[in-house]
Amino acid sequence: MSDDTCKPDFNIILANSVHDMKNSVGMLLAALDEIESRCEPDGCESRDQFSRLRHEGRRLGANLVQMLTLYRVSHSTWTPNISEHEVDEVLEECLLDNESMLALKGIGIDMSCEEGLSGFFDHELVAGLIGSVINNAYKYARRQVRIGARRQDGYLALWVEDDGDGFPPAMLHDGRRQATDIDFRSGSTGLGLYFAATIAALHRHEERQGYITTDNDGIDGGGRFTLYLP
Amino acid sequence: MGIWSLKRRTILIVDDFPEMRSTLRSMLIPWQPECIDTARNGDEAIERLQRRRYDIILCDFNLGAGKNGQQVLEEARHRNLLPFSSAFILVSAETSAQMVMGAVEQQPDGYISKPVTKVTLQVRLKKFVKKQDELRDITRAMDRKQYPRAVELIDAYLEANNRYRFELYKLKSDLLIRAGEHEQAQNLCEAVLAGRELPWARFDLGRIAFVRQDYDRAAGIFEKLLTGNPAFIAAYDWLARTRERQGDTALAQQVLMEGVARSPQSLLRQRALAALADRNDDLETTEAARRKAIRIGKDSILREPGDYAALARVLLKRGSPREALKVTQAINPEFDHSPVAQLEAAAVGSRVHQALGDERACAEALDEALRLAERQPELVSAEVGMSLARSCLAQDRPEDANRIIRQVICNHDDDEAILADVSRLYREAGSGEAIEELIETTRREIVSINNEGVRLLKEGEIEASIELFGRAARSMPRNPVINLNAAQSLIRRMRESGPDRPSLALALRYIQAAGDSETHRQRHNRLLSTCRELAAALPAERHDEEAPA
Repeated sequence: MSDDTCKPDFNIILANSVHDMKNSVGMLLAALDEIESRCEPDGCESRDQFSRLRHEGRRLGANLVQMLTLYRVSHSTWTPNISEHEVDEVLEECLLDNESMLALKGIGIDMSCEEGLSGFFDHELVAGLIGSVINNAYKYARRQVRIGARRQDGYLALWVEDDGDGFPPAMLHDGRRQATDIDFRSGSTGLGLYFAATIAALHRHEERQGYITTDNDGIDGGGRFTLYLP
Repeated sequence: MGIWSLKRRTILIVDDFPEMRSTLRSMLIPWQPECIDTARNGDEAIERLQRRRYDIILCDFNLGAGKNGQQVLEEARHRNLLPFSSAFILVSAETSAQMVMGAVEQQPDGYISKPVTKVTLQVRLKKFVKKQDELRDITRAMDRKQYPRAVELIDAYLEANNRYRFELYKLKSDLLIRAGEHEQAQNLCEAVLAGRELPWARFDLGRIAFVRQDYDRAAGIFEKLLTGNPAFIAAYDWLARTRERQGDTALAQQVLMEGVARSPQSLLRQRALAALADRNDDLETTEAARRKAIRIGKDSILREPGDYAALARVLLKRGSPREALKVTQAINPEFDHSPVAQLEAAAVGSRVHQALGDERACAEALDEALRLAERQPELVSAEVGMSLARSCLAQDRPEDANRIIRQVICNHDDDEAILADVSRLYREAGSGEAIEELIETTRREIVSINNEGVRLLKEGEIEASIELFGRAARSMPRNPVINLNAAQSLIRRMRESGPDRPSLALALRYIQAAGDSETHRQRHNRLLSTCRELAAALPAERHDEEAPA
């Protein structure tokens, strides 16, 4: 055995801690749900704080999952688990999962997806990504968030749009033209896009690869994020 | 969300934390299931499954001490406690990709990752229940082992529906391979792959090439699969098996070690690695893999006394007879003095005592082992047989050695790897020529029995043929061709003079004893389905005999 084995591998320590933290955040969120369920629906003064707590907790959880996934992808210890899924079921799960949190802030969420639409992707990765994009829209939407899916030029397009002010110019991105040259020095939002682009790129079919776009063609000129899967 | 409920569904929750069990239960109650049972650990889960059938099993992966969720699944499937119509859902903090790829053979029907929210649970269960209802005819046919019927039902379903398309293709491919319909399975996989590169279809093509004994092709397929999907663990197992058939045991070991490095928590994989490393005289790896197999197997249904005996043997080879003795002495208590445990312990015990210089204990153990082997020849696996023969040769008892080895050859006359091991054993003992002759004459005897029996059958001497094959099957209880021929002659009689329960039961026992080697898969399945037809023609008294295991 070489000497290297005695030195701790910081990457592995970090990955294990992140895994642990992710589970702790999950426990915190579950506890939060339980406390909230004991409050009266209308008579609780802490409603707003619950919503904020849940939003921040999910953001934290999603970030940890992102880090863990990126770590695994970069160490190639891992390949996506791609199989066929019913898209409306996946989106419905994302919708239901976020509905109550958004409602507490007075934001509605609806979806548009034809029944029977199916696609090939890693369920957890894609559902996790859509979930964190919705969670992000929580911050910017005024009254409405919409998620949807359709077939487009041989790709499955999944999108999340809101009626907020839209993305700032630095965050507009067209994955068809730019590769994954996303600049994430500008903070965690950049990391989010980088993560999304990485997830997209893990999906390949024949010569095509998944990609993402961000534009301001959402509801009333709000932000729109679209994930294209081959 | 529409109207949805769990009415008439039975649910089992398996989790070691009481809070988790009650949380899940309270999440489920509003959907009005018929019943919710809980289990605190793997043993309790198995007990519950023995007592009744559940539509949905929610099982945590980590169950504290004892079996984990994957082992509960393995045991439940192994003991036929889990019908295809049930959904076994593994709850885990890991991502499903890691779990899916790490599993050897047994995969659950679904994963839910922690933390479980009410919404996730609802959406997933709704999906499972819907699928359960829609595919009920198909799973019911599978539970009755009517595989050709299940394939027909899948085709009919796919003609009318678009849902679950690829899942059903995968299932159909698996059923076709099980039924020995390799041509059809291959066409199906190729059609799927023409549309999309799906690892399971590539993997099934490799399995088909393997069972057709086209090892070069199989190796190419598995290698290509692993290049694109290095985490597809089962492909390492099959590639290693293929390399072994090609005669390259060194490469086979290397491949399997890669698989073990990625997914070490599998008893079967560690056992396979130990056997390969042993063939390659890599004693360090053999010992490490044997120890891991025993540790992983501690709570598993798949553990065997042979794991301990094999560890003792490699410890002897590595010059640690004291440690080997300890391991040997653990065999009987660990396995409640089962017949196999007694035989394994006595067989390896004789060699341990010899190494320790205790002549008397050595002779006693050897006598006992030979007595047990004689009384229950069906317990003599190739490993035990060879271990015993080695002791006999070392004790200068060549006749006993030959008797035991003849038994091994009889049971494995078409397994080149085992015959090669047998030859090596004798060569090392300086009796290389004797063994070649023994193998040759034994094989000739088997061929002549088979020819004679088939001739009798052709000439209509059915009773004589039954008698001949029956006697042969008693003396070589694991020989596939003899057993299948014995079943065939019984079936022939029932075809001519009508089925009866005792003959049917006996025929099924022969078919089962023939094992499940790919070489005889097609014939095996043909005979099984004939038995099923005959069973259907029986007067309707009881129906529990129609489903052969």
